[in-house]
Amino acid sequence: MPMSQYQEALAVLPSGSITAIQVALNTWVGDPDLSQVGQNISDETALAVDDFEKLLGSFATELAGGSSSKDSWIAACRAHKRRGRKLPDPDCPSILGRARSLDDHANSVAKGSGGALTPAEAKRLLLKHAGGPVALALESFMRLAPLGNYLVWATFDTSNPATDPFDHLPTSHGGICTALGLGGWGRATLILLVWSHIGCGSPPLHRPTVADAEVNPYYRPHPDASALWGFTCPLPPNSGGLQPQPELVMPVTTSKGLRLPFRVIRA
Amino acid sequence: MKAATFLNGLSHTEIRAWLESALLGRESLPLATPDESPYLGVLRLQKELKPPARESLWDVCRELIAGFCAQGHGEPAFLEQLLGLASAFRDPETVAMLAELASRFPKLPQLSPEIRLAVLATLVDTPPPQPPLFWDEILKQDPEKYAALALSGVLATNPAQAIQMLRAMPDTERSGQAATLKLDLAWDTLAPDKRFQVIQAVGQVLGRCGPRFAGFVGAWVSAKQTSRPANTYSGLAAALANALGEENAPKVFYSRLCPRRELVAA
Repeated sequence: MPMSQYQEALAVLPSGSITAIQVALNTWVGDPDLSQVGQNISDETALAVDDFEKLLGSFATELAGGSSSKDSWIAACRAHKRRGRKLPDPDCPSILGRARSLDDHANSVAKGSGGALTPAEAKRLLLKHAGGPVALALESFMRLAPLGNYLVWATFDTSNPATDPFDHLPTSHGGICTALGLGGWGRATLILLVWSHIGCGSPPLHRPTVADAEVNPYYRPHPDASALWGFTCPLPPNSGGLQPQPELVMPVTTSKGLRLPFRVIRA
Repeated sequence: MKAATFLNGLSHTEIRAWLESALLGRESLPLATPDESPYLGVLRLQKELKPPARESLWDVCRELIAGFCAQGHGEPAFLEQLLGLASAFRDPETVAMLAELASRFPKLPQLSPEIRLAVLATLVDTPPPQPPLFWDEILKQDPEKYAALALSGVLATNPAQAIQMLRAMPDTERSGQAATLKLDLAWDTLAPDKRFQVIQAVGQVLGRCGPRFAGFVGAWVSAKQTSRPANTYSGLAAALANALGEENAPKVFYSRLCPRRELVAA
């Protein structure tokens, strides 16, 4: 049986590092979330061996510095973001979308406004204008808002990458969370953001990796190393039989290519 | 919840270390998306805590704010999260510390502009509200940067004074857009009979504002005037009074914001 990419990367490291990593991953076995993260590391196919080796090397270095295994993993991940394959320009979907909590996006709108709006004002305005025409003044501030924090996870419609990816998903809060694998907190009011990739400056799109996911237990590596993008893992019980949705990561950009109107979905 | 059980067993010192780590995104938190602001996860988690742990968490939040206010600077990413948490905390002592800090901004060159704005936004969004005099002083510190937040602060406690404050707004489109949105939110909370009075008062002030600012706010005033309710049209009100009798006619209320003679003149 051929070695996995994880095994190949691990094998290149000094024996002390290998042992430290294996010991650390063993301590995660009793924790349902961290054991899934450990499984994801083992199953990852989206990293080139060289990048995987660097990620694991950083992990080992952090462990040697005395940090906890989880802190060490997070620190290593934060130094290795967006190392998954970059999507070739011709394959980039023209329309992307994501769901995020309304509170968090209100923070982004306030931040993007440079002191023009507070988070509470932004939240009230987003609620007021959801699903309908957006006041020109609000639109100008919305387009300055970052699409996320640190790293943006986005989905798209594989069968028609020029359309709104939420058009073929359920309209319910539960359906969207299930399809996108948003299992961390299922009761937050969500805002659905859809944007033009070119309109947002064509930021590089990458296939997600375990390093992008950090300790998110809802991430699942795609088993096909040659795949251009990853897929979400729909949340159980998934009684509607929703299919995994394509997912990509990109650096944080402003929302200048945002499509309006936007939607707000309550739990 | 696992994290709540873990926190319930921690000492105050351990909770402090945990919160500092959590606000940097290094702890397992109930987050809606992987990139969500960590403080939102802390807020959800604290609801699951037993009272002693929850009180300890809030005490730690207050301590961290006190430390920030004493030092006058800090790591921006951490402070943004801490201020978000403090805003939800709604602790008067914390608000007083931040207000005192804001009054010292000119003496704090190390404090980043982003954090200054975040402190002021926290003071706008978090009760108890600061008095108009406080916001006047903030406006004097930097009219260009702080005008919109000062306007929000005064609008929350004294709309009439806030309308007069429009004269001090920077003459920019951005400033006009921000003021328009704030006035629109305030409009939503007004009783129908007060709305026209506010519109008229704003319209009167605009003549003394810069043209770019006045252009945006004036467009909002015009839009609202076309949607004003029947009882704000004196002519229509009189016609309805004639037809229905005075008792059934729409009632128009007047305040110092909009004296009766001005309404009739309009």
